[in-house]
Amino acid sequence: MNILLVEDDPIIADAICIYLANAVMQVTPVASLKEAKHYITVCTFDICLLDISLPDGSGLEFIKVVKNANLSLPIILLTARDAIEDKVQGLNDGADDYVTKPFDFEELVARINSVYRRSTQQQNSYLQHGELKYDPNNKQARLGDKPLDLSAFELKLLVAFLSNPNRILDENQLKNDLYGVNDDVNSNALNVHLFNLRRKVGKNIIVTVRGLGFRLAPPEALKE
Amino acid sequence: MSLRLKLLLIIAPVFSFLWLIASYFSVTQLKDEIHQAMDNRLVSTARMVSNLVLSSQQTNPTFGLEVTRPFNDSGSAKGLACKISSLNGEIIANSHPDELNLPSVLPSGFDSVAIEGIKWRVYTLNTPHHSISIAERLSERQSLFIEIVLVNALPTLIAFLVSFIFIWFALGRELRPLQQLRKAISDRSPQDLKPIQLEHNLVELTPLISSQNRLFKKLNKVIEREKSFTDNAAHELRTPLTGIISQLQVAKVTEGNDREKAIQQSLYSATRLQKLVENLLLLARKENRQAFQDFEKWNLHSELTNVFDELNLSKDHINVQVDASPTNNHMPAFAFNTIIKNLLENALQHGLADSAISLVIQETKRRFTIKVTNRAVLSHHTLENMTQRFWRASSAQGNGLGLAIVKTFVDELDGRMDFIYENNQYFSVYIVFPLDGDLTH
Repeated sequence: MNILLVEDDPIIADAICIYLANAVMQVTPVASLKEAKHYITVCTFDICLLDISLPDGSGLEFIKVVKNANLSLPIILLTARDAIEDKVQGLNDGADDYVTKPFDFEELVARINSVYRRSTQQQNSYLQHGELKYDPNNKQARLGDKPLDLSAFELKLLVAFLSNPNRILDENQLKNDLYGVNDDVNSNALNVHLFNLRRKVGKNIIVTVRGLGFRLAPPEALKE
Repeated sequence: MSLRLKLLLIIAPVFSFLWLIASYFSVTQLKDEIHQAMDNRLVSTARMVSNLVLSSQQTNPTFGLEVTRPFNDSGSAKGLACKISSLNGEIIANSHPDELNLPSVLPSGFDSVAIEGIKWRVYTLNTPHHSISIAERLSERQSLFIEIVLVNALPTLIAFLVSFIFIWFALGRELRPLQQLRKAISDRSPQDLKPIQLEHNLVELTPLISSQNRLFKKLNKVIEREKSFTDNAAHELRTPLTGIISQLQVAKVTEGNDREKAIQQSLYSATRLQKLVENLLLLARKENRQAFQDFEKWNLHSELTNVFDELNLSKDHINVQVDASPTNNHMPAFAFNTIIKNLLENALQHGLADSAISLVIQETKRRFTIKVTNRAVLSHHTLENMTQRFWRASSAQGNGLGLAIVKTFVDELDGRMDFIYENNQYFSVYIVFPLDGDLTH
């Protein structure tokens, strides 16, 4: 899951990045509204964690920008303001959830998963494509009944594919999901992780669409 | 009591009093008119009878009646009574012989006589041949007068009642905007501070509504300011707390360098929180006026050195000019330390990177001044709000209390703080403490 974090306090941003990376999520941190506005025009994110009090304006302004641009970017407000009217205003302005500081990371991860499920209209708390299944609660991937032993990058790749089962993901999207938008990585690193994932899950599971990118094979192909 | 009822209770007696005065004069006038009309009737009747007697005398001097025999003895209690007598006092005719026992001859003109308890109004017409007296009971006049007054009093009373009812409804109608205003205020929720919009044509109500709306505006401003203060305070207190808690949670799930870094970060946040709490305590300390009044002399240079040590600065970083007595007794040492430290911190955090900072301290007979100048890019909004508690131009550094504390201390020491922003780049904080108690010169 590729997350845009808009938080001006570097210590909080750092903690969120590390903890969510540990939960197989890729976080791109930005510290201002200006940066956030720039990133949503050049990258695609699954969720945005947004602080309200930012140095160059209110996070609520960013929600309006997202809604006016018709972007399907679920937003979770992350703020020290806990008054009911602030929560109501944030949710009415278009935020999908509201987490007050200080927060518990387990709750934050649960809320991120919940908002993500709602935005992708998933019925279950786990991701499934045919016999391939990933449970974010225990970070365990399975093929049928067999648990898969995947590295963190391989798991991130698998989650990216399972989150978009019917879409072709290009190299940049996959790199963003793996490393975030700030890190510049070469294609070889991505290919190595794809190779390893195919080796562990099955070589037919990820299909290369020439000139466009990669996608998951249809569920029935996973059985072969 | 409602204003409507009160106005009615004021208007009704005044209205009634004026009506009663007018009625009194009208009734008096009416009484005189009735008397005049009745007297005229007596005169007319006497003349008519006299003419009749004169014309009858030529044929029958006693009208065919026996002398002293009444020509009408019906004894009617109402109407006029008539007595005709000869000049020598002999009664020729008397319409009411039992009642009208007048003296034999009365002088011409009007007279009021009482006969056996009954008051009469008598008009006597003496001719060369007869004396004719026409009389009328005064009680009859009085009855007529009362009858006329009563006939006129009923519509007047009804007019009174109708007037009061009309005034009651008219007052209600005219005072309706007041009711609408009362309803508009009582019906609104405590959070609703929108201006009152009321359509009315009462000139007196417009300033009242304007004042009310101005009050709402002021209240709204105060509430907004308080909300902003609470939001900022919550943000400032919770941000380092969140840093501590989140980094400790990270430390719990990581190992090695990541864990070490998380612990360091949480310690940094803890220090930041500690500083914030200290600043808040410092603000609370100013409430203790005693601390600002009772203090010992202290050395200005050693206190400056303390500040530079606390900020981990060398004097090479800052251009310091001191033109003041080394021994200071104008303010407590902690206040001087706090003011200088906060001003320098502010300049370091919000000034342009690597720009020079100057600190000038001067003392004359009349004043003790502190001026800190640095280069900075500041908006008008920043200049207006920079002394508000928890307000800051950027959220990356500081806690928005530095200048607020300085301002509070300066006020407590009866000084004055001004901001000077020259050429859109040189920002100075200029503080003056009067040594002769006067800041005007």
